[in-house]
Amino acid sequence: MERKFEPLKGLEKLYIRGISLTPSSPSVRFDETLDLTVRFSLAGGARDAFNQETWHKAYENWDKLYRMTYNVGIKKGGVISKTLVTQKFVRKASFYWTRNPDLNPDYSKKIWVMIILEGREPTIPKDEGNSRTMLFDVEKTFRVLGSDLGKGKHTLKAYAKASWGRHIFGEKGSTKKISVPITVTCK
Amino acid sequence: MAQLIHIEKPIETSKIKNFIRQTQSVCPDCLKILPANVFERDGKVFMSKICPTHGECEELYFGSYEMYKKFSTYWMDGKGTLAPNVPIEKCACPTNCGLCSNHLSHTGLGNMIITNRCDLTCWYCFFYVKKGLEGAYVYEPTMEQMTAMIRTLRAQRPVPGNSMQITGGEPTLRDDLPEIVSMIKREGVSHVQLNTNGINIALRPDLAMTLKKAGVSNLYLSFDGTTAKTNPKNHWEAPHTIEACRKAHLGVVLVPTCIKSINDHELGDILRFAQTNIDTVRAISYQPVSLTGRMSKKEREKYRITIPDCIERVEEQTNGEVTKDDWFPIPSCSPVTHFVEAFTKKPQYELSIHFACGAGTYVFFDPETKKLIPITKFVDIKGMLEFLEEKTEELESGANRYLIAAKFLSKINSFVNKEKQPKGLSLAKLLTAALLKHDYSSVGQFHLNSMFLGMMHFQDKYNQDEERLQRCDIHYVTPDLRIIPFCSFNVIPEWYRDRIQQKYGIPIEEWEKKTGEKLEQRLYRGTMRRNIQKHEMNQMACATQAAHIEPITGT
Repeated sequence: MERKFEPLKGLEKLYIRGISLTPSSPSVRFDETLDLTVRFSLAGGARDAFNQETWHKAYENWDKLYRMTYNVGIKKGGVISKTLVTQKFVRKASFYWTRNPDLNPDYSKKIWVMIILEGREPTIPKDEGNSRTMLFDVEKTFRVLGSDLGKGKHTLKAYAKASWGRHIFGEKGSTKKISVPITVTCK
Repeated sequence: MAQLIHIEKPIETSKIKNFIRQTQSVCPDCLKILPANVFERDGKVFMSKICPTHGECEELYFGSYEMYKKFSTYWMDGKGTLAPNVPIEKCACPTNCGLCSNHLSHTGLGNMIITNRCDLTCWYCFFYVKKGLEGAYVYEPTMEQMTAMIRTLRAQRPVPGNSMQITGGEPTLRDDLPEIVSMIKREGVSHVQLNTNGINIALRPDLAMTLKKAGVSNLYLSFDGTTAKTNPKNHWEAPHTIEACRKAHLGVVLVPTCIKSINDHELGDILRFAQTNIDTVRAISYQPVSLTGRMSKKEREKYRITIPDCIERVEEQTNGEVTKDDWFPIPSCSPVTHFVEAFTKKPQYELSIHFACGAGTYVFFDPETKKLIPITKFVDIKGMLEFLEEKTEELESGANRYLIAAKFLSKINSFVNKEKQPKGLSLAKLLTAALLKHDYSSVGQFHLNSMFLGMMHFQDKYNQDEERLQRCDIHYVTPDLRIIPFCSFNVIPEWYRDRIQQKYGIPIEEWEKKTGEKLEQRLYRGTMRRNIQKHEMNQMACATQAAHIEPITGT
C-alpha cells in the first residue's frame, strides 16, 4: 500500500542515552570467561511519541510495522581499536487492533502494539511505558574468553548504532555512540 | 440482523495461569458475546469463556504452544476494505457482517453458492437441502443476482476481489454452470475455482474440458481419505475425476476434512496419493473439522483436531519428509506483498488472515530420489522474509526502486541452496518472476512447479475467536449484496446462511413444479461403484493399500 502520511513534525531526533559497559569482574584469567554487559537507551521524540495515540495514527495510515535496527558491540584498544564482538538485531513494533477489554476498555482506542524482540514471538506489553522499554532500552551481555583479550591490561568500550526508516514517528535516520572506556585485566 | 450487544465483564487476566491474550467469543448455546481467554496448558493452547447463563466452555484452540509462538510472529493486520457494504462505527463482531468498516482483510477467496442441492446425502453435512424438513428451501440465485454479487466483489477497494470459488451443494448440478463461470471471467475475476465432489465429472469426463474452456482454473475436490471407509463420498469416483482433469489440463486441489479418530491416520497417505498425481494435483488443503451442532466436551475431545495436530500427523505419516518446521502461517507472506506494494506503489492482493487460521508450505518433487522436498529444505524462508521487510522499509523511506531491485536480484540466490534444490528447478528465477512481475501468471508458473500444502481451520461456536473473524479473508457473496466472512456465515447460520437462503430460495415443492424435476432425481446412486469389478476397483480406487478397499453400495 502506498503510504501517504507525513511524519509527525517537531519531534526531536532519537539519540542514544546512557551507554555503558559493565564487566562481570575487573579481571579474568586467560582460560576463563568474562561477561560484558552493554546498556543504553534510545531517547528523543519518537520515544516520547510512542504511545497509543500515535499507534492509532500509524495504524490508520497503514504504517503498521516500526522496525528498529541495532548494531551493538565491544571494541578493544585505544585510538586504533579492534572489534571484539558485535551483534546486529532488529526489534519490531507491530500495531494491531486488539479486542482485549483490559487494553481497550471503551473501544475508543482500539490499537495496541506487539513488540517482537530479536526474532522471538511477539510480546504484548502491559502499558505504554512497558512498550517503550521493550523497543528502545537495550541490555546485551556478551561472553568472551580471557584468551580473546590476551594477557595484560585492556581498554574496552561499547559502541551502539540504531537506525530506522521513515515512519509516522519521524524521518529515516540513525544515531551512534561509544561508551566511556573501562579497563579489564587478563591474567 | 440487529442484535443486542452485551459484553460481559472480563475476567482478571492476572489470575489466569500461563495467560497469552484476551479476545472475544460467543457462548455456543445462546451466542452472547463473551470475553475469552487464550492460555497455555501442557504445551497446548486453550480458549476459555464463561457465559453467565450456560457456564464455562473450554476448548482446545491450537494443539502446540511452540507452533503458536512461531506463528504469532507473523501477525500482521491487513488493509481491510475501503468500500464497506455495512458502514458501522463501532465494531460489533460477529453481528452486522457484510463486510463492515471494521473488517481487516479484503476478500482473499470469494465463495458463491450457486445451489444448495447435492447429489450426495452425507450424514454429517449441514449444507444441502433435504426433503421432509420443515422450511427447506432450494436456493439457486439467478444469473442477474450472481452478476450483481460478482460486481460487488469486484467493487472492493483497495483490492478488487480477484479469486472466486463456485460452491454448493454440488455446483455441477446446475446445467448453466459453464455460463456462470464465463460470466465470472467476463466480470474480470482471474481465478475461478470449483468446489465439487467430482462425481459428475467422473461420470461425464467431457465436463472437465467444458469447464476448463469456460474459465475454471482448478477443481477444489472433496477428498477425505484414501480408503472407502474414510472417504465414502467419492473414493471410487475421485480417480476418474482426476483423470478427466488430467486430459483437460485442469488442476485439482484435494480437500480433506480432517477429523480426529476418523481419518487423521491417513493425512500422509493423502499426500502420497497427491504425489502420484502431481502432474494434475496442484495442492492439498487440509481442513481440520469445524464442529457443528451441540456436542458434549467428551465428544469434542474425540473429534477435535487443530492445525498443529494435523501438521504433526503429516510429519509422522511421511516419515519426516515434510516436518513441522516446514510450515509457516498464511500471513507470513505479508512481507512479500508489502515489498511488491512498495515497489509498484499499488495496493496488492494480500493474505492477511489471523495466524491461527491457516498454514502452508510448498513441496517440490525430486525426480531422482522420488521424494518430496519442502521449500524450506533449500530456501532460507525466514531470512528472505526479513530481507524483504528491510528492503520494503528502504523503499518506503525513499530509496531508488531500481537500486533496490538490483540488490534484490543480487541477493536472491543467496537464499537458495542450489545443491539441495530438486534437479531441473531454478527457484531463484521463479521467485524473481513472481516478485518483480507480480502478476497472476507468474504466480501460476510457480504453482505449476510445486505442490502447495495448506491447512485452513474454520471456526465453530466452541473455539470462535472474534480476532480471527475480524481478519477472515474467505468470504461469501450473497444476493443482498453483502460479503460475509466464512466463519460468520457458517458458524452462525441462523443469522447468515440459513436466513439468506430462506429469503432468496423457494420451497422445494415450488422448485419441483417450476423445473418439472424431483429433488431426489439427481441423487447419485453409486452407478460407478456398482459397475466396477472388484479387481478394477483395486486398480482404480485411490487406496494406496489394497487391504483397505471394501466395496460399498453407494447412497
